[in-house]
Amino acid sequence: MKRLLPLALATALMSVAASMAQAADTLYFGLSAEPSTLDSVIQPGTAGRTVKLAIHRGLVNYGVDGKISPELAERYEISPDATQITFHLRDATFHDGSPVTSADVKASLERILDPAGKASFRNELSIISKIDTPDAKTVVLTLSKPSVSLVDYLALPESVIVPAAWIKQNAGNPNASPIGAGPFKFVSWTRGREILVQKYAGFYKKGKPYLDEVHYVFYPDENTRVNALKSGDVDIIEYVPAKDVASLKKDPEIKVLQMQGPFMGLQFNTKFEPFSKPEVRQAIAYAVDRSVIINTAFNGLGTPIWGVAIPEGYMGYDPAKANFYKHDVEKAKELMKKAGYPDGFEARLLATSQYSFHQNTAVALQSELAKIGIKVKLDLPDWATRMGKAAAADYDFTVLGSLGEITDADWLSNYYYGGDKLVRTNNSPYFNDAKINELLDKGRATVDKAEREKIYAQFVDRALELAPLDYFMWRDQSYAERKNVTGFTNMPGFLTFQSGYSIEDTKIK
Amino acid sequence: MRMSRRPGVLASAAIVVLVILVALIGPLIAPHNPLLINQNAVNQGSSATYLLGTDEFGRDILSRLLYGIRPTIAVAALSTLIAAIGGTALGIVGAYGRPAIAAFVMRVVDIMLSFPPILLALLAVGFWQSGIASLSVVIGLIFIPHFARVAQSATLQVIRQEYVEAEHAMGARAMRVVGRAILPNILSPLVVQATLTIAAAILLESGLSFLGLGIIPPDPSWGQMIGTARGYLNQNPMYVVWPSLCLALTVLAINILGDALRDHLDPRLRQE
Amino acid sequence: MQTLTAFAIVLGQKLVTALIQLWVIATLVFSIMYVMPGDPVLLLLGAESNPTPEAIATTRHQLGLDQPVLTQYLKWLGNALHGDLGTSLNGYPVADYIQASMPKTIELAVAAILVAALLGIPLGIAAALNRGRFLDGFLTSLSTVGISVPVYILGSLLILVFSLQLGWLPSSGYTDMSRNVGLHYQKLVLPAVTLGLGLAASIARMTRSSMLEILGRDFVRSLHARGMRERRVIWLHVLRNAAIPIVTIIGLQLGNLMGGTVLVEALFNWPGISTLLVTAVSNRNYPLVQGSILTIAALFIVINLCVDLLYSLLDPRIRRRRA
Repeated sequence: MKRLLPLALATALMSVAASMAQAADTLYFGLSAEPSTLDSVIQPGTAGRTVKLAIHRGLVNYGVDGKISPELAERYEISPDATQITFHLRDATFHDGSPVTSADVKASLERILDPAGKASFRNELSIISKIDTPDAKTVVLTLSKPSVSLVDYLALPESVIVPAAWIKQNAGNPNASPIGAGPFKFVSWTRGREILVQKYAGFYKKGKPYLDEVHYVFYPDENTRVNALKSGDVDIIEYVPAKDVASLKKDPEIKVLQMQGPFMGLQFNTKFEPFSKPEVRQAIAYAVDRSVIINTAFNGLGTPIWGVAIPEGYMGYDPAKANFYKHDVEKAKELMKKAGYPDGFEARLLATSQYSFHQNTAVALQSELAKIGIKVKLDLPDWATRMGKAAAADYDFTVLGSLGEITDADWLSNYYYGGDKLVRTNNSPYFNDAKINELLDKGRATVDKAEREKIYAQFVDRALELAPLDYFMWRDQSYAERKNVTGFTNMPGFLTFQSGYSIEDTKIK
Repeated sequence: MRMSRRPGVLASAAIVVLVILVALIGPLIAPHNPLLINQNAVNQGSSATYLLGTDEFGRDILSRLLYGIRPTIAVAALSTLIAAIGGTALGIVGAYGRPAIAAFVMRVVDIMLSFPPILLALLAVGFWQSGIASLSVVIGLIFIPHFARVAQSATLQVIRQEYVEAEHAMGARAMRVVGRAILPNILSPLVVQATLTIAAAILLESGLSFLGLGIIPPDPSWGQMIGTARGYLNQNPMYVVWPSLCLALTVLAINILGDALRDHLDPRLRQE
Repeated sequence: MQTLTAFAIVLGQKLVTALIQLWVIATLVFSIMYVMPGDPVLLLLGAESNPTPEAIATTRHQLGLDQPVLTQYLKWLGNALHGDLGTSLNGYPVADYIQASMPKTIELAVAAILVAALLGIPLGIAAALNRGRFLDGFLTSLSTVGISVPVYILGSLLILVFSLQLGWLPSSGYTDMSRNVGLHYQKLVLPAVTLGLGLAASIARMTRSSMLEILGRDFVRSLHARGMRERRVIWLHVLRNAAIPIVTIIGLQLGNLMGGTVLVEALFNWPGISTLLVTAVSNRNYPLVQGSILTIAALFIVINLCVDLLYSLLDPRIRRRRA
């Protein structure tokens, strides 16, 4: 006992010291992964984006209401023919104190457009043919083709503005400390543990941010992440596993921010013979009982999709077409017969063992497809291998769990467009339909809203007819936070992965 | 003391027999299809329909246990066979081969022994998609040096015996000496080593499956069931208990039998 | 003098063996990345967004993955000799990751050894003093169970009972000392006990048998005969003599302990070096895999070397035989 006393005293003292250090408003944010990089032009996944959105801002970003929010540009004008966009910059400063000028914008965009660079959205932005900077506060972008969706791509966390001087200094240095114009400045990255950011007092939104420090702590294991929230180690977590939502909701100390944004579906390799036939792809859409996937892989948290995965309120959504398919095994068998596979066939389904909901969706699909004679062999490598196989179209079909990158209807291009690059992460490999390509091109270039609606209605008809992708459900993408946290928003629909933006509004009591 | 009289030995023998029996006829007695999904009975406790409850897909846990024994036993048996053949050969060379070769072999064995098996397995299995065959080969290779050590020391003892010297004196060829004089006389320690290896292989296979690197879902295996159940401790606490119990009892029974066998076959090897 | 020379020879032999072991493992570890499927460059670039072939080539060049294999090998080996384990695929030094995770693994291992010694030695003594009675049989059976039950089963059951049913301890995770000291130690308890129980069983067995051996020796009998009190005999003479084999068994079991950390860290999400390794394997982060394996192997080899030397120092019989 005598020996225990000093130990207890020391422990008590240290806890007091620790709690004093936390007197400032400090938030601990449990991320689902350690970001692979903080390079602003690379799409690093949700965890990396969450950190990037604390450090950086773009000309525009998606705001918490889901609309484009003017950020470093206080306003912008799109020319009537949609070939020119003029941005007027506000008086903002970077974390090193230097003002945000048109030269910084130009340098940042040029870095994205560099063909030898690593920018994830170079293709989408390469429509920019000229960047003019008439004065320090004005940027004029000239486009090679009309595009209504470019502003949306500029709102992505990969299109943020960094200082021209920083780019010059850090070209080719992947671990340079990032500098941006966002609400928080980067302080440190402790390997394998956390990234620390600190309030930037010179942020252009007066009074924001409210927090002094945010620790982004890495919890790759979902069970630990949940436990860390329960025990108060962290104040917010992302990627709440569906199986834990119910128990977290019961906890009086915790709030769950639910949102359905991402969809689950299937991509088909159309070089694999049975999947080259639209009837087979439609047969699968009829054969799968959506509730089996929702109840087993997602603990009942999800909404079935019986058409194309366009969220309600988005362009192209039509309640009449939202229930194009239904669960009808007989009809599915008929379609299989029509396609020439009355007895089914064998196929390889690619998913990943790293995310349980991907694996569980695959297992549920395997059992559902057995009912129409499709014998599914599961290929469940780790995520990296899965992505490698997807990039090489090394699969017959694969579980798709994703969403539209932007809220403009042009998000569909990533999934349906053919063109030169027929194997992409999110499309059905080698699917290339002239009519779909034409409609998507036209939709992107059309300014008139009513006209656009018509184009995308035609697109949906064609997409349902050919069914290059099948969709099964909207999945729940939840955040959970402790009761004393306010202001963090799980952003609506496709933007849930960009919810990190709302850290500027977040407070802790 | 006769081995059957030792406490626990009989019970252990019964468990081992039962496990082998279940591995053989499990599919015949399983009440349900282990892959059959029931979306209306997810994560349920014990009931009349599902004696041990259901998993996250509403699949019958009892049936999955009965099927899940098979990959485990298959991997354990195959890998032990590989380890026994490879290890015995190496061990005999290490004791009876040319001095330079023997020394080299034993040095290699030492190096391999100096590394935790789970790490080697993790590396080998982590990078390739694994099935029963690849798991058996990897685990078999990992246990070769353990066998080689036992075979070598046993051979060293045997070759000093008169009958071996006699064979030599009669001018017998090396292979003949190995086959006629050495192998039959080092069999006892090898059998004991084999029981230990089977238990170790079961542990290793289930450990890898627990880490998600073993048998591919949806086919069941005990280790994988434990690994999955770990995520559902809140929702369905008994889910983790059943496969854990099966695995622990099996390994325990094999270890107890192995100890008894060692005392019975080769009192010289008795520890303590 | 003669024994000293013999010892020097043993030392030299063991050092050379250890170095060869390290080199073999280093080479094996290096070759890993050439037999592994999966492209790390894609992962680094965020394969979600279709990187261009040019971007892939640039990154490959930056990482030096386009050089001849032999060049990469020699460069890697040379750097490793200087303690430079290269940079992780995201551009940060591998050594940083290892520095962050290694102490946590060591903390866990030390705590486990403490648990094992505090449990195993008293149980072993109790069994030895009650030889042949019920307690002895019970404790001996218990230790057989302790040795047979795999750590992840033990751990799962401990979580189930102490965390979920009783709510006494947190079920998993790690809290940094600087945040909350109490929580830090609370979270250490279950993993340390899980990892330590197997070792406790071995220690109990060894304590029991060496106690029995020494209790049977003549000098103990004569101490008893001279009327020395039982407790004094045990503490002063028997235990002291039994200490060597007990310490040895702890040393010999360290390897198993390190192997056990792989599963225990995974089960409790303890952010040690095994977790680092498992994550690196699944992320195809080659340099990180190489660095962590090499570190674990080096640690393992150094521990084995120390135990070996300690063993031959403590026990002259073995020293003679091995030399």
